[in-house]
Amino acid sequence: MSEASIRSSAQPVAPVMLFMAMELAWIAAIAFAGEALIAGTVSASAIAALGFYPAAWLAGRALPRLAVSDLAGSAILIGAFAIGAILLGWLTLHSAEPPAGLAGIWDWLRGNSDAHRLIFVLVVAIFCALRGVILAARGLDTGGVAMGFQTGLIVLFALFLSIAGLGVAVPAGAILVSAFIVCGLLALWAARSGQGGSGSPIAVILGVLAVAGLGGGMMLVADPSLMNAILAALAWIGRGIAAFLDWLFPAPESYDDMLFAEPTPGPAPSGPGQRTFAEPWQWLRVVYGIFFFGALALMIGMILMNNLSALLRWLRSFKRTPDLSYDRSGERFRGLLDFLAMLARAARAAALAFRDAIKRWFASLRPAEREQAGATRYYRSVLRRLRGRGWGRRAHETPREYALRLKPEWPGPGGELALMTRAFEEERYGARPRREGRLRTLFRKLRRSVNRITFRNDNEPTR
Amino acid sequence: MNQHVEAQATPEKDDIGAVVRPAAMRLIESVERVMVGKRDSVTLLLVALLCEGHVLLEDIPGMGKTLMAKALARSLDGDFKRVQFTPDLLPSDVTGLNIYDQRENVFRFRAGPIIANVVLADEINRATPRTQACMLEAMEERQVTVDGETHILPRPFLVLATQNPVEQEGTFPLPEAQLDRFLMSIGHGYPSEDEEDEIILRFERENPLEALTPVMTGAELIRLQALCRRVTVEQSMRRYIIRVARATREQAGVHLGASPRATQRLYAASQALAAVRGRSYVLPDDVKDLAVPVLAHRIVVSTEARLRGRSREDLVRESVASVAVPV
Repeated sequence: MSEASIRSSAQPVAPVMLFMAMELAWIAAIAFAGEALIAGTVSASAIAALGFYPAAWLAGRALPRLAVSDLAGSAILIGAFAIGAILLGWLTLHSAEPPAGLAGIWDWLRGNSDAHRLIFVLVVAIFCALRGVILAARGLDTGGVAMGFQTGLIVLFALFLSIAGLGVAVPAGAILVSAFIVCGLLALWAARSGQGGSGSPIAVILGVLAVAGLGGGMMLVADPSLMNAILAALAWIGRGIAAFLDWLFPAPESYDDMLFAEPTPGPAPSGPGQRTFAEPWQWLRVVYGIFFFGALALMIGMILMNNLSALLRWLRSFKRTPDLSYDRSGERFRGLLDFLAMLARAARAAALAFRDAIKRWFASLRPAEREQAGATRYYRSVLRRLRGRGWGRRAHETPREYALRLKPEWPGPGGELALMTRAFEEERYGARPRREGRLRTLFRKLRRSVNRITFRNDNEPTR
Repeated sequence: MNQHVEAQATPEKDDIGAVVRPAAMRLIESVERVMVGKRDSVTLLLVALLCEGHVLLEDIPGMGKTLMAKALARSLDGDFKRVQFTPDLLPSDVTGLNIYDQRENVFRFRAGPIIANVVLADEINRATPRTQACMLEAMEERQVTVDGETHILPRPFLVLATQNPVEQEGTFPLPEAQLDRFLMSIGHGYPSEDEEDEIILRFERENPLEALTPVMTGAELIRLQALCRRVTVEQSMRRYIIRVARATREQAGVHLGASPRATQRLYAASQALAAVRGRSYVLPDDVKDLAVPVLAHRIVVSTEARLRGRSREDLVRESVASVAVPV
């Protein structure tokens, strides 16, 4: 197939840009889904990004069928970018403490991995848009470009997970350069020749196996915190198994000695990344991990397969009807209206969330990073769960008094609540953050215990 | 060597608890060689010492108030003076006076017992208000003025005053201004049966007080005092302390609530208690544990509440319970 024949499928610039703007949602959704997996909890930002994904998908489905004027397209484009900007602004506020003033921006950028990720997402999105405009202006097809981008993004996603799992600090610049090279090459390759693959079942299976191998490799190099994150994401599935395992292998000893003992200076706790199976059933975590990564690989494989088959379909239809024209019927146009309605709802939700975030940021005198600190977040989550079981903390109770009150009711030794209380106190009142990995493990144990605590109706006013 | 000394003088903020706690435990254990089962009282005494406060030991006779003061004084490497307050005690008997030296034809200042590191003011409420008032300047400003001449008191300076809350005949209750000068009021309470048995055994053959030797120098104490002032009090904790103090002013049954000075002292005492417990930050538990000793003697209970049998301690506890802990 010659380049001239591809040029014949030239499309208006605005929808191409809109399509590329939707790619931003793809990236944000994938990046923050990964972030959510690594963090072990699904944060509001990840939910927002994942919520945006259907919009991107709808846009991807609707746009090739639309023909809008450049003016309307530009309006939609501005709206889409505005939503993206609001979303990213909110994510910035939500996930990273912004600098106090202009002078602190450089230090903030240098020392803030959240900022690196956001900048990465933004720059790749801008690159996508620009690349799309350039290619569209040259008469190349949007679909092929988008597929190239999507393939590149999947590779980047895998890289992103592997890097985060390894705990390696990679400069933002290196990520951007690699993103540019991978996305650019794949996009051009897909758009120019459509040589991406044969689309045969064997090739697809091989592709899936390759991705599964990548997933296994990622799992092997990832540190236990990633594993814990996976467990946290799948906790609702594994709760029954975990309860059974707890019954089968009860906790080794009482934690009573550790309960509120005054701290004594000692060696610093060992860091994450040490793959030690302190408990006999921890090998099951590996099995969990294999299942999870298998599912991930399957998902990625399906996306790849979908894209490849779409590319092949497009190539075949291109052969039959070289002059691709857009369907202007009302039936097809309804898709756009539905999409716009969804977009409006998403915009409203994003705007409300943005307003709340701004209000929280200004109203609260506490530093934003403390709001996000691990022990505080986990402890408050435990408080909410306990309140749900009728064991809410009374307003005048200190965390220690509360833990002591719960001790007789607590299933098992109860040391984990004391440890979490200690971690919370250190972080909340002493501004001494704890290691996220250990907290996550502790939080998981606590969550299981809370689910076993006797439910009661407590009418006393609690907080 | 100098570097080592300097590093010892200014430890990292996170290490404050690790520095203060061993020294505090040394002093507590020394006092506990004499005092049986009074860990809480001894700890409070130490807290007062660390935040340069004065202590009112309020208990019935024979509970070991004087003994505890003596044990603390002996455990510290400093001057110890005792003043037995009686109705005929004059201010100059406490502060000192200028005496005419006939040979050199000049007035010479003869220091009173107040000029010492640890002063035991035994049965302070037996002295007249005039004599009690002479303590005000010493306790608050750490100086005494005699005949227009000001004499700075040595550091550390701690006044341990005792009074008997039961026997009120022939006594002069301390005025509010005087009470406010005391960081905390401590009562021992009766010992348990086992503790009483231990007291008899311990004092059977010899007085363990005689065997006490100093375990802390004045310079070390001053350094620890400086460290305690660096203990972190998170913003919401600071607010919590303020709210606790303010709650006593709004508490039903309280005629006169805690003063801003009381808030300030509760803040400092919380820092010291946190350090004694080995932490470099204050917890709500520290504030709660100190609220009664620091605030109760400063509030004035209304007549109605007194008739209903509500004590100052009860009212402070109710005030504390009305304040939400920041979480």
